[in-house]
Amino acid sequence: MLRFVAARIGLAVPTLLAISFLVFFAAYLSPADPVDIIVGERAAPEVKARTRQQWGLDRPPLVRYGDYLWNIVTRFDFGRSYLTQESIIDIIQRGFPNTALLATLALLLSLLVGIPSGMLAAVWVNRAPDRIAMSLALTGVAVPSFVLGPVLVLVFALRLDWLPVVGFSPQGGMTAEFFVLPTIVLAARSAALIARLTRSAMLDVLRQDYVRTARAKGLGNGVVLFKHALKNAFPPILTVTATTFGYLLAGSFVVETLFAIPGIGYQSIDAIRKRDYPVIQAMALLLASIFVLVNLVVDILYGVLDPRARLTGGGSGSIRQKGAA
Amino acid sequence: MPEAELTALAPSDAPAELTPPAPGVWRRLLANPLAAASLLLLLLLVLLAVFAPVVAPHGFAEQKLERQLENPSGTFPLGTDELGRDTLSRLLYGARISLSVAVAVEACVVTIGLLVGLIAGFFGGAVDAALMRVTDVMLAFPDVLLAILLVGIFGTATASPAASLLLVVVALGVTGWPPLARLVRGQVLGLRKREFVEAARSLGATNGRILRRHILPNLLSPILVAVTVDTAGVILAEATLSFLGIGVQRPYPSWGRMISDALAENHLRSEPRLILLPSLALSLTVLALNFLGDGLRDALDPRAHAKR
Amino acid sequence: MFRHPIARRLFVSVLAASLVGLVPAGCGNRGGNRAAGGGDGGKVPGALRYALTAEPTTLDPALVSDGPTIDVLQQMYEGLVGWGENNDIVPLLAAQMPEISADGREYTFVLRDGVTFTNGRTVTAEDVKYSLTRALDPKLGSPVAMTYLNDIEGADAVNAGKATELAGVTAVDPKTVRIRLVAPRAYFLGKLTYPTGYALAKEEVEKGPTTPGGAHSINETNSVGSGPFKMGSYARQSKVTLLANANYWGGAPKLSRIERPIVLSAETRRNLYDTGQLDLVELEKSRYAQDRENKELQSQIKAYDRPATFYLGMNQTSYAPFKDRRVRQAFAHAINKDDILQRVLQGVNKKAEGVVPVGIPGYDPNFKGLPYDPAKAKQLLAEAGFPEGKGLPPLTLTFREQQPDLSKTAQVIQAQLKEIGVSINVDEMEWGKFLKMTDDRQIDFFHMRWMADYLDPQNFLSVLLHSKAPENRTAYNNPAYDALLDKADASMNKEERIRLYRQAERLVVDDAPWVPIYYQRDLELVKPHVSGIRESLFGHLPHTQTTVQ
Repeated sequence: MLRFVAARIGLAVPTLLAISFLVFFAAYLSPADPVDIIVGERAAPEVKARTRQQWGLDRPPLVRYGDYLWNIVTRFDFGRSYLTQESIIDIIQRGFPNTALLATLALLLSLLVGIPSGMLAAVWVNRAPDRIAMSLALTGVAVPSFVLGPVLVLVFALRLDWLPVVGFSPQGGMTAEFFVLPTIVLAARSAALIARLTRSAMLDVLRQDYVRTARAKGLGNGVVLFKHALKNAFPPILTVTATTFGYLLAGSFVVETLFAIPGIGYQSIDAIRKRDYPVIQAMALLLASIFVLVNLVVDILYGVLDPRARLTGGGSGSIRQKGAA
Repeated sequence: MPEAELTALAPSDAPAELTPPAPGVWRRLLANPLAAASLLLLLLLVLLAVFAPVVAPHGFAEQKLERQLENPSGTFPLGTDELGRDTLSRLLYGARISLSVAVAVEACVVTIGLLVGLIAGFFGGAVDAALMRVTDVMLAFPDVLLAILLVGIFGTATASPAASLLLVVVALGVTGWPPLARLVRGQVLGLRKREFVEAARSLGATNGRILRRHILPNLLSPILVAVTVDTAGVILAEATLSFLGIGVQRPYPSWGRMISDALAENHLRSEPRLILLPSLALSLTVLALNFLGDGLRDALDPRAHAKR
Repeated sequence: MFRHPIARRLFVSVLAASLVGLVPAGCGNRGGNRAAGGGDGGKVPGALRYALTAEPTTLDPALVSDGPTIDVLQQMYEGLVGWGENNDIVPLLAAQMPEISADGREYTFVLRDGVTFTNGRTVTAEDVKYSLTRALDPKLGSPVAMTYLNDIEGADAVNAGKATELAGVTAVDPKTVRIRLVAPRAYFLGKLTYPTGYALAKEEVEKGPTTPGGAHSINETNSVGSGPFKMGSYARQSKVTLLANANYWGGAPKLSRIERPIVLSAETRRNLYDTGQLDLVELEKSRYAQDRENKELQSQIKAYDRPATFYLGMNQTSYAPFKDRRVRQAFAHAINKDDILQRVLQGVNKKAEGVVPVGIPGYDPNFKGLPYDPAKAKQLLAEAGFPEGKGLPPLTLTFREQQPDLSKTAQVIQAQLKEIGVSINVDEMEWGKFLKMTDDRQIDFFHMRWMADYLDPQNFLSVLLHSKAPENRTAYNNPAYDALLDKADASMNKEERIRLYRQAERLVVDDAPWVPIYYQRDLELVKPHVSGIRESLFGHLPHTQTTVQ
């Protein structure tokens, strides 16, 4: 087991290195001189020269890359924004808690909604509960959050005035009601996916012989459902949960924009619009690290739950994630 | 659509159920009403998109400022937007954009995915390990996110609309292939051990011949299913990028951009048509592709169907 | 469903409670904020809430170049003089209007008694001198200092790094400051109202972060002025809060605080206003017709003419074809301003023929600029060697993001230029970056606005289009034009100045580095519980008398 964990961690490190390398050198493809962005093109040549030196932009690319990594690893220092000169770690510290909170709430909500409705659908397969749940799930998959969000705002905030139109309080302070709509919008899609997956995983398990046997032995439906079926359907659900987390972070780009929540999705879009490369780089690295970490944890959990996976090395949260909308 | 794909991908971990497409695929596909309707809808959409220049009553950027925000009429079957542009024409050209992006992206995905998967599966060993490592790295990232960051680094600003289109295609294309590579690899691994491949090999067939004659034909069905479902994701991803303002640039009418522009104009309350129509187009296309993918899977693999 | 109020409350509580349960501790502070946002229009007595439409570009008065940010700074800082409600210049830190020497070059100000910075220290003549000198310091690299302070003797020497002492400013005694100009300037006091003239406390400035050039700058930690409000907090990408300065010399403001949430999306701002979370909001032109018919809203609509011109700028530095006057003229003739005015702006604004807007002395109501004439445009383009736009390098029209009026105007212009065969791209850009890049003359073709800092044609014609002007974002350079302006700027004869400026304006409109499109007319919605907002042509004055109750 330890060897398995060590191997998994050993794989995560080169992955992150590769990503950081790509992200760092992609910025070299931009035609703009960072110094011109920092002090303005019309600044005096000596100011430019001094800035180039102060920011270490005069050093060879590989040295800069090494330094960049070193600062991140040792001091968690991602450098500073060219445009505002703000320290990027400050930006992350400001935005990350919002995104983490939103994504966590949405994850919980999608599990709370998705797993029970998937189970219901599986138990009453091809009957009304199944049809209703699966129709809703299809809607959740097919309606992008940038449509769902505004419609919910129109209904619940503008027409009914029950909930706020934004995801932060203009008066300051975070209260729960501000998170209601963004959480629902962000969770809709993943809840739908989890419901569909739970349903098919449960159906597979319910068809297994040992479940039939259990039922034949006269065990109550509830016992069969929870003790046998759900337990065995758990590994695929765990996998999709990890995938969902990736979705939620990607979805936060849209939801944070819709609800003006200053999280890392909002900040990344802001940085992309401003072409603020150091910030884009840092966000890319940060998100990559989160994904690698989540996948690592899932791989290990998976290995614990299903020893066969340790041998084949397969079965992680590696499912394509598309359409973060 | 990971859920559907998960099912599509499942054979990659388990030994694949390998049979050439059973006869009667069409019959079985069309017998499934949802899949048949979806196929019809998609065919119609493709036709409309291809012939948009002929079918559309107006140009997508053609402004008739004196006719802004008109309700549907004979001249403007679905009304006009805030610049007096014909909504129907924009939707049709929007379909053209969505579908061309999807086709181009899937071409990238299939090319790269097939190549990587074939090489990894067929040669195995260190090559396989290395390629799958790269694939896993890419899989760690939701590809929309990767595409957003790619677009961010390479920049659409000041790019021409055509260049922005290309950038979207490249961003989604180079990030989208890993699941297909995995799928192909899994299939190839299974096929390699099959009797007919072993037999061909013992008869002295070259690698190329085995690939061409025995492996590729058997990959067709699973790839078809995966690509169909993946296309839905690509279309949503393009709409998302365009909604965020970093996808297809004006005046090209991407559905996502139409939605965000209409929202910015506060049309949700006064002219909901301008938001609902592109949303409907988007959602219907995505749904149809999903249904068709499901239908195709069942039709191509009747035994899996029987199990349900 | 949930028609019944109890059912409704239950629904919200269940939703909220289920989420509260999930919210980790520390995010508490569950005050009934929205409880205050009920059916009464949602006021918070004593707090004025209106959105910032972009992140403040700076908090340093010496660096600021945009109106939205100046509106934050003017609450916290004051200069010797400022604007009053009759659009006249009134003394602020100065006790009365300055004494001007006979030759028109020396201004003597006596400071008001007992004015203190919000750190408690009395404002002195030395502070005034320090602030002006600092703004000009090349290490600070202010993009605006020389635009507003260049008339002071010795300003260029300081700005060029040749002197550290600003020769033209003398602190005669702690309460008297004398400013000497290089030449008489009719508009000098107007320039002095700009934030580069705000009084700063040296000891506070020096606590600030170091700029790339090596000077100290100002952020939310050391924003200390003598204005009616002081910095409360600044959460980036979220909100700026200003608190009342109880010791303000003019009496404590009637508000206890000003809240400026940063909300980029116009749609969201409007939604916030409609749900009672903001007290005033700009009214998008596209909604004007509709809201004017709405019984509840019509009384909340306020319209203000602003001395500001929206224009297209053509930058000769970055886009070579714009060096050719015929290309610029062709573009100008291709623009159908009436279409933009009627269809995009719903007939609210006045068409701009010239550079100088209504409200500025010297505005010429009879002047006609280059008319809409696509045939002429095509002909000029062909003469310049670009028949039907062939051979023109790719061109992008850039404008500030999240502004529906601007984006629609840009798209209409895109279509209008297409009519003469020119294909352009349109691109929106974040406000701070846009200002910086136009200032660096890196944007080829832009749509923006200039709003008067003071009521003098010099503020438009010389500040923006003189070849030596730092604010010249188009690199327009015409010696004949410069000569007219130099003469007009130096003159103290009102009639002569206006005659010269009008002459110059004709020249520059014909040369077409700019295509003026329309003059600004702001539409705003203001909640009925807000009163006492002091107005000037330049916008809302500092909120000393504003009340929310």
